[in-house]
Amino acid sequence: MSETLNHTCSICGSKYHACVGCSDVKSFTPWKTIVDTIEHYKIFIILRDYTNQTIDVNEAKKLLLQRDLVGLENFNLEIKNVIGEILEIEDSKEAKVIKSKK
Amino acid sequence: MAFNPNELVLEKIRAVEEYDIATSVLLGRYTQIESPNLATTATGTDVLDAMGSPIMTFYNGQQGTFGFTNSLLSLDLAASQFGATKEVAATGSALTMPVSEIVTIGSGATVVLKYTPVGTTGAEVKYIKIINDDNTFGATFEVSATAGAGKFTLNAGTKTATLPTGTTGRAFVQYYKSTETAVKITKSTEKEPAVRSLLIHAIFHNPCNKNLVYAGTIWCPRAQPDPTNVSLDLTPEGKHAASYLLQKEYCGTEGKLFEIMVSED
Repeated sequence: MSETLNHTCSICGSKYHACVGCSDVKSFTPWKTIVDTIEHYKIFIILRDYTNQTIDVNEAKKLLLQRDLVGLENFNLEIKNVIGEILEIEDSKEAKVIKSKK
Repeated sequence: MAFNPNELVLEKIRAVEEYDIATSVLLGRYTQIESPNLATTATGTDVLDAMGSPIMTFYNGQQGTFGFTNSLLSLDLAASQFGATKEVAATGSALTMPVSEIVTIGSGATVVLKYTPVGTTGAEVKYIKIINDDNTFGATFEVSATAGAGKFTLNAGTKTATLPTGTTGRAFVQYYKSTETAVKITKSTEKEPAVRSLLIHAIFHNPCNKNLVYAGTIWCPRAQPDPTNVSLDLTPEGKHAASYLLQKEYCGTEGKLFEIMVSED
């Protein structure tokens, strides 16, 4: 029997099924309350920390580059924009540092 | 002259105490006793003559019940009736407790919670629902890692949620807090009440002289809270009724259900 797609991933917007009252979600995959995969949960945490300014843009970029960003083009618009902002801003900062060293 | 009372005036049941049957540890003590009642039952089997007339009756299946109503809601009594252990939070052993808040949305479309929300990191608060001026539900916002339409961001450390710019009014937020000053009892269908020993303390008076006060006890070696009909009246004037099934000790030699004692001093 097909399961109801009752959640929407906070990162990619995909519909998925999760039963927040079920023991497997409670015990092993509590992140399923907000995202569909563990990789998207890791991205969520990085972006949340960046939004809450508990990590800076450099740290955010470093952490994001360690993650699998496959499907980035299909991520939720606000997520895609912030990831782009992090990656781009950091690149330009690095470029400025290299220029100043010359 | 030996102290040998017959008729006494029972003023009141002073307290009911529950003890662990194996260790005699005190597990509960109830002091607001109303309508205490001690009763026994037996099953009678008639022996009939040829005309079907009973000529004698044998009794077996003897057991007792003790019931009372506590004037106040007792968490210890409820735990005993539910077969549960009352969990008491303390420093280093916090309990998680649900909270529902209606918060006025502040400047910058922020919602500042009363307590630090706990739970799945990042989703300590999953939804925020706007309460309209007429108390109907408004828009529902979902937690996100970044600001966006229909989304809010959450900084659990500062207890602050930030809604989309321009959102005003009141917000309903449900979340869980961690507390070191709370207790919890859980009613589970997997558990049934444990058998206890009961010690019931009574105050008697001499019917001829009220000033003569006697102490009485009723000792029930085996008493199990009856879970077949536990009802908690959740009102200020509500009482807390309890009933115990009194049975004999299997290993006891006397088949004792309970014993009543009255002492002159």
